[in-house]
Amino acid sequence: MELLDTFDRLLSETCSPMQIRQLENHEEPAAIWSSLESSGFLDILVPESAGGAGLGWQDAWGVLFAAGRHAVPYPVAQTLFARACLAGLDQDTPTGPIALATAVSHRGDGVLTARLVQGGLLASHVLLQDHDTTYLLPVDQATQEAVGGQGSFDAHLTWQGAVVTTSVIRGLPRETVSHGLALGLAVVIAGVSDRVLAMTLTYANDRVQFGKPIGRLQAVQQQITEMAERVYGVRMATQLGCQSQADQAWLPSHNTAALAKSQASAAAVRIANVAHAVHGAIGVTHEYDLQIYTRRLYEWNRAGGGAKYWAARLGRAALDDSCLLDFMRKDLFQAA
Amino acid sequence: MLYPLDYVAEPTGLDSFRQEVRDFLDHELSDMSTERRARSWMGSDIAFSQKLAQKGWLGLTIPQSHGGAGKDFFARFVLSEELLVSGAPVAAHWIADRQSGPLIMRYGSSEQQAFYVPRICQADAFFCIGMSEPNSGSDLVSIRTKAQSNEQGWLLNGSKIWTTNAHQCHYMIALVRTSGEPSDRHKGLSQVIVDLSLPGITIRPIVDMSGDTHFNEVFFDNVQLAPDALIGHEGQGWEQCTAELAFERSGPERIYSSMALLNAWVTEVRASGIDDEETLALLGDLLGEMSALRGMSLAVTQRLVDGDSPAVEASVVKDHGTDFEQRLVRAISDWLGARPEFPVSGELLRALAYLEQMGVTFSLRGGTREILRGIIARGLALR
Repeated sequence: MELLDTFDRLLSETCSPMQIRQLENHEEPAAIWSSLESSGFLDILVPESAGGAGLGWQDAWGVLFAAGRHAVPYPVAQTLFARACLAGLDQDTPTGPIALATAVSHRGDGVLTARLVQGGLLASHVLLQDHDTTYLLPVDQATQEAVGGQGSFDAHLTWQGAVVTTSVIRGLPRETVSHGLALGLAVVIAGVSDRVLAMTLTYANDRVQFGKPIGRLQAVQQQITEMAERVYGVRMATQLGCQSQADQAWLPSHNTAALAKSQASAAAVRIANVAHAVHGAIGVTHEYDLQIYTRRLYEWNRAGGGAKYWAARLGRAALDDSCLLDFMRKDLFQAA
Repeated sequence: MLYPLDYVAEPTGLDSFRQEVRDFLDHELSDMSTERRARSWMGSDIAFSQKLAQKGWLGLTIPQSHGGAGKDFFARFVLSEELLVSGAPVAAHWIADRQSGPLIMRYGSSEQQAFYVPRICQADAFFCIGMSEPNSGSDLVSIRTKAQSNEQGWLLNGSKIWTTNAHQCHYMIALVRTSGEPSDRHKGLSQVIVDLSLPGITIRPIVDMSGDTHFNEVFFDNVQLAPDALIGHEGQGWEQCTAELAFERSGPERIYSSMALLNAWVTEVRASGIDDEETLALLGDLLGEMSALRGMSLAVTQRLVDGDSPAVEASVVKDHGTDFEQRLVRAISDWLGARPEFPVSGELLRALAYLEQMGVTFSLRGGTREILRGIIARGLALR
């Protein structure tokens, strides 16, 4: 929680809605990133032997939650994790933002396309894992196709065979990148959900209709309380997700990562929808800040695999265990 | 105010206790059908409750000086979880153990504590709760049942309804009006312990839509209570009631009401070799939400251990939890409906049918969904 507060304060200054708008309008692309880079937070998952803080996901939770609360457009969670992966492989770490990719199309001539790379247009590199092969691909050598709506930096990225061949690095354990991406996105969903709830509560108390704040209307209260329950549920699911049981603290636990992303994605759209229902028309204006945060809920919901994809992964693991309660206790919870 | 619930790990050192409980349940419940297990904490078996008492498992958090085990709320969480997940028939003692005992320990006189609490721990005293009345459901402060002060103590008149298990109980803790009028709302309400064997009391079981008789109507016709029937202070009934509801709403019984069905379904899915993406996603989704709820329930337990009264947080867990319990029933019903060829057992279908019928009560008992959301809204400072 201490890391959360510290990083949250930093982001309040360096990643305000105004600064996000400037970035989205391509006015001041480097300011947010340079403050992140100099903060030292990007190396918290990197082992101490490689010059990082050597923390695990449990500590990273607060940092990523804060990144979500401020809807940082850069792939922060991905960079945190990619830096740990690269350090674990004794690979030099590039300085810019690193996106993660797992959805890949190959063409016969060696051309490779990474689909729906979250934050890909802001990244300098993409850490991509395709079955047993791991790549570190330079984004400036990719053909870029934007695939998001207004303000999105998501992209299909395509590299020619020659670049692909020279970008292969040592291999990571199977499915490392997909689980790290899922868990990281789940936590930023939890963070941005917290922001969206806070804005919704404030608006419901401030906005007066029928002679009273709309937050006093039972129909509105019923929706907001359901939203709050979802927000708290996602918070808990991602905290469960961040318990690391692996030997190396930066490696996510597969089952809890699947739990976190499936639950976060399942709730994300409902949370965004209630926020917009309460805010009414002002909430969808470019001028008002709500959309800066809700847009990310829609994007992060799908990115890296959505609710059903990850629920099925969790379901597969649970079906193989003969006792659901013990599976939950031993694989999804950790004893103190 | 409502505070976010953060993950706390289940303390170590309880694993051997959990195993002991599980071994006991495996032995005691070996021939219990899924459809009976689906009754969960509405299923009643007095002999079973007595066996639990012999093991020392009633009044787990009650001090040893009063016949309890003197353990903390995490131990109680483990015991409750094992009982609920196995579908053990705990209804006879459940309310006394969960809320009446703790309520008397908190607000009762030392004489009341010495008399009632050891009996609760020995399964010699079962309690029910008298709150709702025919014309006072969610609007609880409008109750009309009156306990009038007289020379012998209190003269009780009125009636209670939807009183779970009254027909099997020895005592009721009733919320009654001891002064003023219904229009005085919270003022003038008190809690009294009613010995249900007293003259002037009629208990009429009400058959529910599943064919069970779990709740009752209870009539009081000039029932003379002793002066020491009053719990705590006269006029403090509402505050005591609210504190009691924090105990009622916080436990894992708001997560596991449909667990017998989920266990039975998973067992049959596994046996049939079905593992398509949709089936796996349903299982993973239900298990994921159940895990988040379990995490929140453990976080509420931590607040109880810390000595707080997390009434609003408990309402969050209950409202979210009952929504989950009901969704689980719908989801498995839909899953079966989409697969007429699936060789489902009659036992699973009977458990499903019970839960389809009585699942609606999950979001009624202990405060309706709408009332809970009003409490949560206040906790969120919506004003």
